[in-house]
Amino acid sequence: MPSSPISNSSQSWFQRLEPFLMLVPAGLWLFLLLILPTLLIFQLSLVPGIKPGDLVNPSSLENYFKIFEPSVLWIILRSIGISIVTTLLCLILGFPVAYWIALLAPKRWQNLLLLAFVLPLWTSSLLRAYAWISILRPTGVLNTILMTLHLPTLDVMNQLPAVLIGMTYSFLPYMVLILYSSLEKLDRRLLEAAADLGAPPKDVFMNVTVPQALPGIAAGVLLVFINAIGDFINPELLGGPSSMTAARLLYGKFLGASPDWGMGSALSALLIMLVTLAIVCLIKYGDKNARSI
Amino acid sequence: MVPSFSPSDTELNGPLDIELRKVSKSFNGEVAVVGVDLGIRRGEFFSILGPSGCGKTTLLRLIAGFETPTSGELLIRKVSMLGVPPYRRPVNTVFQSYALFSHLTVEDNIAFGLKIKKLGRSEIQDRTMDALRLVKLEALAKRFPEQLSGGQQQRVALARALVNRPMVLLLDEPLGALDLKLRKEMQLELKRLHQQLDITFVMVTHDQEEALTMSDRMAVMNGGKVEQIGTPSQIYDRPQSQFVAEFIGDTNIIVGKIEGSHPSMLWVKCDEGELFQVQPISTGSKLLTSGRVAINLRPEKVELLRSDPRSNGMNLEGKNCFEGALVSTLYLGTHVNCVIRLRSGRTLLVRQPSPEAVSKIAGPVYVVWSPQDCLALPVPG
Repeated sequence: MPSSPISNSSQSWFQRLEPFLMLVPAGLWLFLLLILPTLLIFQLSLVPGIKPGDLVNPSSLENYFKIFEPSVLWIILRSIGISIVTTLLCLILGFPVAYWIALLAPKRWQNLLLLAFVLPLWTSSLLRAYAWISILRPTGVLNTILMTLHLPTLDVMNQLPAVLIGMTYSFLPYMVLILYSSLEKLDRRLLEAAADLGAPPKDVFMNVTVPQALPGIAAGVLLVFINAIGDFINPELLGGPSSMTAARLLYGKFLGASPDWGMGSALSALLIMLVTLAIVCLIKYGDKNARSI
Repeated sequence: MVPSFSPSDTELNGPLDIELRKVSKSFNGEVAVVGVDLGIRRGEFFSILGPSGCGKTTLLRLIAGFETPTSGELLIRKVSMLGVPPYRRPVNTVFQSYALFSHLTVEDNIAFGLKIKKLGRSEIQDRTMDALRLVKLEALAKRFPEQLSGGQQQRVALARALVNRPMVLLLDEPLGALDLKLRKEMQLELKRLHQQLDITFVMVTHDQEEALTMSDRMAVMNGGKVEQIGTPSQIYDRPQSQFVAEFIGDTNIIVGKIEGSHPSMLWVKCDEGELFQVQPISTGSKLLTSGRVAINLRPEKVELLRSDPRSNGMNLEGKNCFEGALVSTLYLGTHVNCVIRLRSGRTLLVRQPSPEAVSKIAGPVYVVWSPQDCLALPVPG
């Protein structure tokens, strides 16, 4: 049969190309909606001025210098600070929950408990922020309860604490999910081995449980930090004018009253680099850890 | 004379390191260990042998403190272990899966127990090095467990336990995951360590050969109960139950009924019709003189002849002699197992030293053995 070798070779040609063909839809998506816009932002960040598409202006690093003006630098540092505190709060609140669900709760309840924790993710983040407003505002649910109990009221609305509460609430489920999946894989025989070697429960936790869960902790920290530094809704709705963050500033530079696309792009580029740096650090660190797992 | 033996009277032979008194353990009503009485002497190599699910690992976990007895008492060096958590017991365990800490190097794995005890840095260093030398792993101190072979991981697990100088070392199927050659090597290694260190070793295993070759004494478990405790030769030569006889080594079990008894002889009418002469022995306290028995006849105790011994003028006074035919042979390297079918239709396993001994057998063969070489055991149930 003369057609047999041809169909054979075309089949092997298809087989060789198959993995790449399967990447095409996602690749196209990534290129058009992520890589291309990112490149455009980098390009735009080198153009001083406010008008979009105004590519006549000579390229310069002027936009980047503007970021390092004290007022802008403060906003960026505050964003990083808020993100770090949010991440730590999520870790401190999330670890015991994940530990309890993964290691102590009855097996058949585990999925249900996880579901309960992930449930808030099913509602829009905007809705959740508004819910917090109605709880935290001066005449909100919280203060009504405090007043009926004759306790001093709290004035956190439009302050930093409200932002931290909102953000921690938003990102805690991610932390719990990731820590759970890490702790759930924990080899309990290691805990027995540590106890057998003389370690009381506290030492078992510090010397075995935490180190074994470290890749999960790293992943959870990374995910929450990235989400927190890019979060716009919580600072905008709960923070008031005093808690200006990089994301809010960015919004202002593109869609605010006095737009400056060039500087907004420079700010975006900086945030992208910051997050990339965090990912690189954690991959490098996580890799070292993964080798021993 | 009737040879007799009683359950080993442990108190007569040195102090006990571990004592179990009527220890039982059940998990949600499922019984794992039932009424175990056991004394393990100081410095001995003691094995707990049994099929999977017999409760042997549970017994070890009870000693280590990972499980608490449902009832009964457990003492280590005369101190009750009731309510004593694993981290306060003077024992260390080598786990079946090794359970090495993957995030620590070999060195740090071994030093783990010492660091927990907050010993001085130089002492930790010295003892860790000693332990590494003991298991011949000095060169691999900085490696991580996953970079080691199974045998090397096994050595790390051993060193990690021994570095703490426990009163008792517990070993849970320590060699189960190794291939045969490595297992033989590690058996010798374990024996060497035991002799060198003078620590009580308690090993759980399902490998009867391993238990026989390594132990000073051993316990055979079945269905959560201890069937027999004794030295390897007591267990092999004088099993007290059909289970022990069948579990340890190859054997022929022949069920029959006692037809007649004499202080020095039993006559057993087998279910297939033959009459066997068996030397009576006491099991525990009572002497079997009637009822149904299971005769335990080891293949190596049977003599295989090619011609009728009676026509050759051999004295068969008081011996068992039957005619049969060779059905098949199994070559096992060091010996050959022959399957002989007797006239009655029963098949007997007979061990011969070499293939030459059974080659070119065509006609009838004759099997001969002395009453002393077989045992009448009570039929279970």
